[in-house]
Amino acid sequence: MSKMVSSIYSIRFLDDLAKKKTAIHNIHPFAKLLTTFIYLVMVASFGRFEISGLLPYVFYPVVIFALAELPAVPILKRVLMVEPFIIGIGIMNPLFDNNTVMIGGIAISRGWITFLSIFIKSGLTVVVCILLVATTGMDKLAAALRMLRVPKIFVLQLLMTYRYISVLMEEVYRMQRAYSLRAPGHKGVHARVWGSFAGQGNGFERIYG
Amino acid sequence: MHMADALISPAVGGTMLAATAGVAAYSVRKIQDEMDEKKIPLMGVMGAFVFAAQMINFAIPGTGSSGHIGGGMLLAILLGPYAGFLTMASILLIQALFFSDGGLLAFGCNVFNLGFYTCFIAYPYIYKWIIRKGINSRRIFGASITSAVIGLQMGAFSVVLQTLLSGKTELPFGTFVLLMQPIHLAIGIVEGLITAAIVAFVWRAKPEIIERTAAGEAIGNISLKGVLTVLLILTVVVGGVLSWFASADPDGLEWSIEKVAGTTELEAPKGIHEILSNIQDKIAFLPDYGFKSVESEEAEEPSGELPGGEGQEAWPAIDAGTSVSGIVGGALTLALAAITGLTISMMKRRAKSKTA
Repeated sequence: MSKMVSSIYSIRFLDDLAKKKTAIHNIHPFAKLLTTFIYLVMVASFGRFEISGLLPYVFYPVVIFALAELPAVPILKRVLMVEPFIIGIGIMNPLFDNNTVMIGGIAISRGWITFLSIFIKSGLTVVVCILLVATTGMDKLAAALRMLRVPKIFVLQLLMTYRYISVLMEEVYRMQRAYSLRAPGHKGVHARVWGSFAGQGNGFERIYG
Repeated sequence: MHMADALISPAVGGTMLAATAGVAAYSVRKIQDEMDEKKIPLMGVMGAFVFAAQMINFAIPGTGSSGHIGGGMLLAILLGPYAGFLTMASILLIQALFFSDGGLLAFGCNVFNLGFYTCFIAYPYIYKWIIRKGINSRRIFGASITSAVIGLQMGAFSVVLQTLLSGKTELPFGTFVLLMQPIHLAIGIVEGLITAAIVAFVWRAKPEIIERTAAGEAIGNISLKGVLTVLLILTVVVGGVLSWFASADPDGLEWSIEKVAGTTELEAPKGIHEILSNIQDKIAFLPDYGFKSVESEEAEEPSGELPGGEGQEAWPAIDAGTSVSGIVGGALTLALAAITGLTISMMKRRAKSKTA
């Protein structure tokens, strides 16, 4: 439930940031999309033992943060929220690769190095995606997609989905809150009303007629 | 089970993006034919609906825990395969951009894993086959559960392949498969049950939605040419990726051997990887130190290094001195980045207070 609130908040938060007017915000959305993509390809192309080579890539997000006057703490918090999944997959590395390597006189399992590499990569890739949205906004991104020759139907559909998300999420949030108030102690929606609960929430009749 | 940018290589990400773009372009062409003015808003609402439905906690009977749905199968059933695939793609794009779920580079992987198998394999060949003799609640349940389970199994296996082909984790193939498939069997059953419940409800409330979609693309209506095109794309993808991998490692899929043998890096000898690493070498501020093999280190000319760029040697010859300087260099890099950021912010603030 709190996930829903934080999601609604997340969209509005990024939307608001995208309305700022800084040098970075004024750059053409297509250029930003392209830069972000190239950056992602660069970071992803590093091998799994690479750590030191990845560190200089920190400069790009730092400069964007500063130039676009974005608040660092809430955005970095968002990045950390994604890390548990990466940790879940990456934590296997130390288990499967026990070869040790000496760094500065301390023996370190090679698995930890690959783990750290994935961890840094994930932080960098996640943060630049957030920065792209926070400095561009959905409408301009859609325009950039059109320039990439993405078909109009898809872009239109993307914008529609985006528009309706906040409407429907608020609706579902209200419904879930109402449900939980009437069914205290339940962990979720009871199986007997799975279909009717979710089916009613689609708001389809009211929005679409 | 969203793939993250950090777990894939550019080759895998790029190939999957291309495959996704191909299938999406094909889907766009298909729905253009049957387009009425209501379909796009309908897709938008359904996309947002699935997005919101993903966040509902469904209590799973008898377990005391709750589950969520992915929604790929639900979209296929409510919208048909083509519109369903496109809607799934836009949901995943919004998730990648606004919620950092997945990523831009991994976007193709995710659309394929969550959208392709459900919309283009599970829906036409399993769901439609089961309901071919007419819709009723029992068939909706059977069809939804079977197709959701199979769609998710294929998606999970695809995640395993993409992760291993990218070579960023150490997970051996067998372990990873044994980890992923059973988990996704359980997830698939829950997904199927919830999907069935929602579809059954929508069918009772507005039967025409389910029936029209089911009639629109009957199993015979999915054109042979379309299926062939998709298969062709798949062959190119799989063939291309596998051959790229095979050329990197003559032992084929024996990942663990590579580990036992002690070779640390999957060096791809040619193709996109080389081009990219060349670009990377040119662009990197502190080029050339990771843990490269001795040969490649010898082959490359030492290029101009910035302060703090002391590198590390290949694995066998670890020298404590260079390792320490590598760590110090890394710390200096981060400190320099932080100072750069703070300086820019301070300068901006000062400029602002002057103008104010």
